[in-house]
Amino acid sequence: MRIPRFEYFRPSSIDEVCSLLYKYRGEAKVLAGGTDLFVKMKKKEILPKVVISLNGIQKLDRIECDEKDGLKIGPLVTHDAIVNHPFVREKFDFLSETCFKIGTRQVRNMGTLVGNLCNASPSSDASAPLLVLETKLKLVHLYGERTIPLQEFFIGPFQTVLDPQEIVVEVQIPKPAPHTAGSYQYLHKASSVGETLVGAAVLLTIDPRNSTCQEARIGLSSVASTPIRAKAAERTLKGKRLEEKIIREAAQVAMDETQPRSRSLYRREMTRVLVERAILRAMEKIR
Amino acid sequence: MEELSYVGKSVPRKDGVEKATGRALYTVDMVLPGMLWGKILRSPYPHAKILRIDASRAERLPGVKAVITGKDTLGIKHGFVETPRYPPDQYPLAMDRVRYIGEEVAAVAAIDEYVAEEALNLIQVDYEELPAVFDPEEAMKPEAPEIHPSHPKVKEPYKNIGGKTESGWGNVEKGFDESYLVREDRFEGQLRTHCYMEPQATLASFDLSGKLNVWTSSQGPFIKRAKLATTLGLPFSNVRVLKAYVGGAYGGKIDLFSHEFCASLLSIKVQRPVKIVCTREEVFESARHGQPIFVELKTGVKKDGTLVAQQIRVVNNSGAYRGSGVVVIFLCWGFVMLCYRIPNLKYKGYSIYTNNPVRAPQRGHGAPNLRFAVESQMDTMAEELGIDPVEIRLKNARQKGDILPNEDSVRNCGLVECIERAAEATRFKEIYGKRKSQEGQRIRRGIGMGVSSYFSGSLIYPNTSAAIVKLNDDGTVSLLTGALDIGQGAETILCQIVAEELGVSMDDIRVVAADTETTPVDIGAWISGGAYVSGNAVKMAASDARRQLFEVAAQELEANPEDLIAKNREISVKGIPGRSISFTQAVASSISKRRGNPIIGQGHFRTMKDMPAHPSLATTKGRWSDNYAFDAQVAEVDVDMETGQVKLVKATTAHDCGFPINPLLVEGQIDGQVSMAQGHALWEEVLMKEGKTLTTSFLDYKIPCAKDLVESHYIDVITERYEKDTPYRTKEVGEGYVSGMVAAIANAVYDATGVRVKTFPILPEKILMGLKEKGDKPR
Amino acid sequence: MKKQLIELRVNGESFELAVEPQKTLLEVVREDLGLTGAKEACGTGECGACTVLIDGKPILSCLTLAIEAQGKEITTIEGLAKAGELHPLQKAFIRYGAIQCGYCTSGMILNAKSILDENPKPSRDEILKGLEGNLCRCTGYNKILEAVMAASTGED
Repeated sequence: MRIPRFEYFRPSSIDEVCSLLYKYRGEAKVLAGGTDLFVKMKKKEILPKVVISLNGIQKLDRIECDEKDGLKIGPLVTHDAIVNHPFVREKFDFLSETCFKIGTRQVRNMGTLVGNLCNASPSSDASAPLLVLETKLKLVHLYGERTIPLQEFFIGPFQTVLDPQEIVVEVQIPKPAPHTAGSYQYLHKASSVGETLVGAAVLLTIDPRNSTCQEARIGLSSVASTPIRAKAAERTLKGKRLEEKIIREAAQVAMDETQPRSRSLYRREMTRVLVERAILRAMEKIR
Repeated sequence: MEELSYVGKSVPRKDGVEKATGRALYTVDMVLPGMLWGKILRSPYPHAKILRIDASRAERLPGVKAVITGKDTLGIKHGFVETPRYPPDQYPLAMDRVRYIGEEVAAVAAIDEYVAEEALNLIQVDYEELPAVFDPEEAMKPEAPEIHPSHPKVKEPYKNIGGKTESGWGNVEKGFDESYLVREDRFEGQLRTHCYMEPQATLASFDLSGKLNVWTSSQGPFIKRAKLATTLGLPFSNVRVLKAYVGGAYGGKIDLFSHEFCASLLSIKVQRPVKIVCTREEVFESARHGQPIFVELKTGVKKDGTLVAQQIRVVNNSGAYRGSGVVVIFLCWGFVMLCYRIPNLKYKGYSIYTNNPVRAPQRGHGAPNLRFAVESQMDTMAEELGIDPVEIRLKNARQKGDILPNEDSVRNCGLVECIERAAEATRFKEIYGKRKSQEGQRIRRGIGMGVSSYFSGSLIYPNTSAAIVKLNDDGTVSLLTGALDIGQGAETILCQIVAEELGVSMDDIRVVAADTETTPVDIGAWISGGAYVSGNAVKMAASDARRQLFEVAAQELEANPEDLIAKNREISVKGIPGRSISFTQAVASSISKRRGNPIIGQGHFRTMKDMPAHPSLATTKGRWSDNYAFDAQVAEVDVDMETGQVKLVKATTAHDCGFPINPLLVEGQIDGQVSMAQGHALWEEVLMKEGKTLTTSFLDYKIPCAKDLVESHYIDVITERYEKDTPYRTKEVGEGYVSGMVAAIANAVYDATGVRVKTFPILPEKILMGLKEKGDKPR
Repeated sequence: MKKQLIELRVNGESFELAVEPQKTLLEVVREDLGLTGAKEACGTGECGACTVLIDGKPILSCLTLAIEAQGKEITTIEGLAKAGELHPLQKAFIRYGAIQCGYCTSGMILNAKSILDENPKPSRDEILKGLEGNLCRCTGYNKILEAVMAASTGED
């Protein structure tokens, strides 16, 4: 399969990228890893006249971290880089684990986290952990910038609020509170790789003094038209001691917050099963 | 078996180095000077009349060298089966009607693929849509749209019948009356597809001398030559199909494909080479998939589990043309009657036209669906009778020396030993039936057995294999064989036979293969006769060469030919060290003293020598094969009772292949078939909606990946031997092990969960639904 | 779109080529350099048959622009054997029967090499996880695993 023809630019700064995006308004696409862009172009789902490569710009592949501000991930950071980064593995281990699950070894070497988010597949694995980590995205365009919560980024299957002239330059993940741990549980559609059938990410903060759950966040992928937070289920857990009955209830509530478009009965049931498993696993990690 | 040096040994593949270094050339890799790229225009409608095609704008596009449509062809049909009863029914390019989405309507040759694709968009086709039907039972109804007239010899009030097979013996009604237990079930096989890694591709080059040279990804060059020559109106000798490495086929690359025809015709038109490579999407959408079959099975058994009567109705959805549909309904009869003794049988099989892409054989060709049905029912009845699965199979299994209902003999049947040894090696009886004791566990283990059989070579064009073994002046050997290595290791095992017969090493032999012009005819790699038929042809050729060598050597050494042995390119006298001559000397001597005879050995072999042709597809009358392979396979699964996900943990294959010519290659075949069985039973399904394929990539259609690897065990049941100077009877290993394994997996899932799923694939939700119906809770 | 002049380093050699921007590394390697070991089995990143190594890491060349592969060390299967001596992985694949039709072999061996270069003694699960992106329809992966484990123990 051949990639359809396009005009190619390889700017050396973000400002240049923004200028080009402005100039080619809607007819340009940004190239990071290429694993989503070129597949779509080969299938003729999109046919941009212009492709702007980010790969000539220095420093976009940085992962910045500090004890105060958490994690800042640049647009050219690959999934592989996140998997192997020592700080990520230590402080955000379930994000690292999730990224290890994504795609295949080759795809992880090429595909970027930002690219994955901008592709906005309803079954995007990375989205669920990032949602529960209350991730923010920094978007820039020629005349300004904005920072928005990831929650507000997805608006539909493969649709985001990203303007054709905008580009995501940073993924900001705040440092989790003490006594916090997360887990991501998933099922594949079939066989061991490929698209996720259901993904459930749970982040819990548990007060060690009285074992109550101070904070509970549940992110679900592949069970609605975008990755979602199961807010009602979260409320079920918050402030409570996480006994079996409460966990079961929360999982049930999470199930009811889903709106799967295919294989619905199974997906709903699996949401329940996986949310339960993710809660239990997160609890184990906190101990 | 006398001590052999090469046959029976795990010799490394002959083409291993080429493949490991990236030097093996597949059709997709080949280029010729002046080569053009071709692309195919396909019908977007499942059923329509073609009113008009205007290709003028495409022809005028700069870079386009030729455009062809049906009117540029001779209008000669082809088909997988071409017999008086089942004449060919498919045009290589549609003439006045299209019958499936993806049917080939036009083709273009251009300077590159971009121009070719643009040209396709400029071809204007006016269609008049016709009503379409997709489900075979719907297609059989009197009110269904007619895709083709029903077969004239089938006197039933059904529509769209491509073919029918009917066979039986005894009296099933009486048999059921006399049975202690009678069961009736329906089992459905899904539409699955081959997923060979190398996509379909063809490079055709017509030269000014009137010769068409073709490289194509296939399963045998001789049938391709015949069909290309016939549809193009060329003499067979003007069409040369040459060897290309093949990146997998599994039944999906046998008969004539439109792109092969189009590349050839385009090349003829422009007198330049034309290459067409199908995209993976094209392969998923419009190449041939496997045959989806449903089986209605009614079986009666005695109280002790002995089979009394079996009544089977099989319906196959062959797609818009007959394809191999009329073969699979014959084969399904075979796959019922081969494994067990059945006193009374009634079989009816229908192959039905629908407006779907044409279907083809896929590894097992009906056996997986049949054995799934029979073996599932056997287990169910065994449970009702309080007998274990091993016992009921032993009660009914074919024995050595049985004469089959079609008068074939299974003189070398090893089925009983396969069952016994498989059961023993897997500790089947210990592990089976432990559902109750696992209650409350989230992950439950189950074990299941499936038994199958496969024929080894039968008669279909070209009906024979031949080979030539040439001695070279330096004592090395050239093997000329029409056999095609599609990954199964044909060239390697044929070399092993030559090495054994002539006492030379594998490195001393150069193989020239699969070239219709320079190598002798071969049956091809799709009729399960590679080892048996092609192997014996090569054996005969090699021993003929040896005989000639020994005649010369006997004179030179003043000895009797019977006292000579060949080893390391030397001929010596048994028991007399020092008395020997080299092959080189023998060849030179032959040339100088025997009227210039350079020593060329010839051989040929035909299976079913006393039969004029293959059995009747419609009545099953006539002997079918000299040789049947049997197997008993055991699957162990772990089922997550909360998610319904099934993991195939261990697969054991006890197989009777006669004897393995190369055990390492046989193991590879078993592993590959276990993997295919895993996909077939648990996940794989081509989804279609009103004739349109929805699963068009490896993302949508999952095949096993490395993480799905199954621990695979092999038990060789040896029932034949290799001897010098007589043809040997070895059996097939390439197709029969999918069917036993899919059946074993289904039975293992039942053992673990108590849920009997009667449709493939066994998706997790089917198990959960079954558990719910039973009122089972995982905790 | 006009062709651009690029320089690619493949198997230790430099090549100057004129390519259109949309040409993938796979197309250039196969069609311009005649190195047909890397294959297209899907074209959309799911099969791994097009795997080549870029600076030692396995990537999908069917989704990589040739123009973006400049300034890097590209290794194809043709670059593994040195001075007529097969790489231990190539020897192991042949010895253990890990090759049938051979179409997935180039990508599989290169990816396996990158796994062993990173971790000379990987576990069975690490190997299988690493190879999950290379589809094989012939072997069931059993002999492939054996071959990679044998190569990792330095067996020759």
